[in-house]
Amino acid sequence: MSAFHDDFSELLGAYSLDALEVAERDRVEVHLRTCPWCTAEVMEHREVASFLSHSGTDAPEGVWDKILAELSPPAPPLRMSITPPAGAEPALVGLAPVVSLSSRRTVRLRTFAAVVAAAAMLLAVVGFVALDRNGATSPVTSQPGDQALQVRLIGADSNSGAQAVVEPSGKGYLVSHDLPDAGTNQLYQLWGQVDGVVLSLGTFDGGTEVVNFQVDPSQIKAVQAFAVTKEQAPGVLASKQPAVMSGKVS
Amino acid sequence: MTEPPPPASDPSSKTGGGSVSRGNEADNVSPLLSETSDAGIVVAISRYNQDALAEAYRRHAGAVFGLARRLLAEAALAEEIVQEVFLRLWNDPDKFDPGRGSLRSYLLAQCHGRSVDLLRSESSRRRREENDLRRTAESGYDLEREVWDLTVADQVRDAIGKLPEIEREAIRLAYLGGHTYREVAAILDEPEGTVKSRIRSGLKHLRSDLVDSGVTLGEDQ
Repeated sequence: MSAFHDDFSELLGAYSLDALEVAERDRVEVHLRTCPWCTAEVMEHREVASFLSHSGTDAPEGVWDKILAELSPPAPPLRMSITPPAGAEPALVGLAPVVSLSSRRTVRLRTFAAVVAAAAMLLAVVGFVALDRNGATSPVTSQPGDQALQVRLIGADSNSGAQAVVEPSGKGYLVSHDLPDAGTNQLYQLWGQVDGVVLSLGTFDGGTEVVNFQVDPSQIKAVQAFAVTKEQAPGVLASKQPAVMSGKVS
Repeated sequence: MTEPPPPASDPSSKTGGGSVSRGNEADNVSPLLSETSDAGIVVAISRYNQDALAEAYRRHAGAVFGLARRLLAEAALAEEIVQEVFLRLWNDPDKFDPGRGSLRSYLLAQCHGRSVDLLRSESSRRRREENDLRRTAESGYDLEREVWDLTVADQVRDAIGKLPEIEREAIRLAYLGGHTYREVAAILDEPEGTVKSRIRSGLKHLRSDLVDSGVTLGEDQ
């Protein structure tokens, strides 16, 4: 190690305990961005420090309710990158922070068997959407002039695929008939991209034919692509897997 | 929603916890969050699952509040820190890297950094001086008395007890007093370079002793 590195190393204990003054702290943080050894040492020091204080205390009543009251969009920035299927046009690429597509933070996924009624309704919705895209008027949920967004996702083998549909109201559906069971301890994860920013929309099991998700209506026009990856349960923050299928908004 | 159930370490609280955001929302058949690892909890939080955040809160809010309360003395300020730490976890779950430490140490580091920022603000100087006076007046106050992790308290106290006094005092003043190492040097009347290196060596000694005594560091819940 260099003397330059050693200068920073000497500061790591104090840095880990927030005992540096601002200028020194900033210098250390610049160094940490490029030094995995010092970063690892800081993590070790902080782990030790975490044992040095009371941990048997209970947080006072009412604090949780205050936290709950603050839980609202925008969604947290997450990071991911997705490699599109071989031969397919890149749909979701790069390493981008994730912003909220959903007006609610919970993505609702339903298995076909459990939501037969909902699926039946969905088929009607998809039909409506297709008509809408062809210029027909919208009979139920959309306003005059609104159009549903449709994206065709193509699989790596070109024989599988899915259709993503987002109503003007923000209700989204992914309809797939081709995905096999994901396998033990694995699942499929749906991703969406808006303005180059990627968001996990949730996970679902193989065999699922209808996946519901929610999109902020104000951001529908900024949606660029959808993709599905196969991941280890319970899912990942950032995917390193190639997309099982993906599709861009045309 | 009301207050979350007691910490998951309480066997009586092993029910509930809600579901992660996969599967059938009506049937709620997903594995109980109370049995999910911290890393899994954070993944669920990243998928906007409020129940997952509640579970993280159940597990770690007490420790976060305890540290903030110790540093800031005022309960109201400590409560604000708790809110801030868990809202930050909600808004930036990807900042936690399970490969680089436990969720507990991550949350406590967030808590400590924010508490120290408050402590060092101009408006808090008087409060801090009063705090220091109160602690000095407490009989037998030392770092060992601060340790109250019920599962590893004996091992941690033993490890602290083996530290040379200057290392123990430097760590106490920096971590639990919120002082910079320069301030610690002035308080202990020691050279700044000595204090800086003693904080680092003390933390290394603690780690080594804890590992030797069987305490697992950096492990996810």
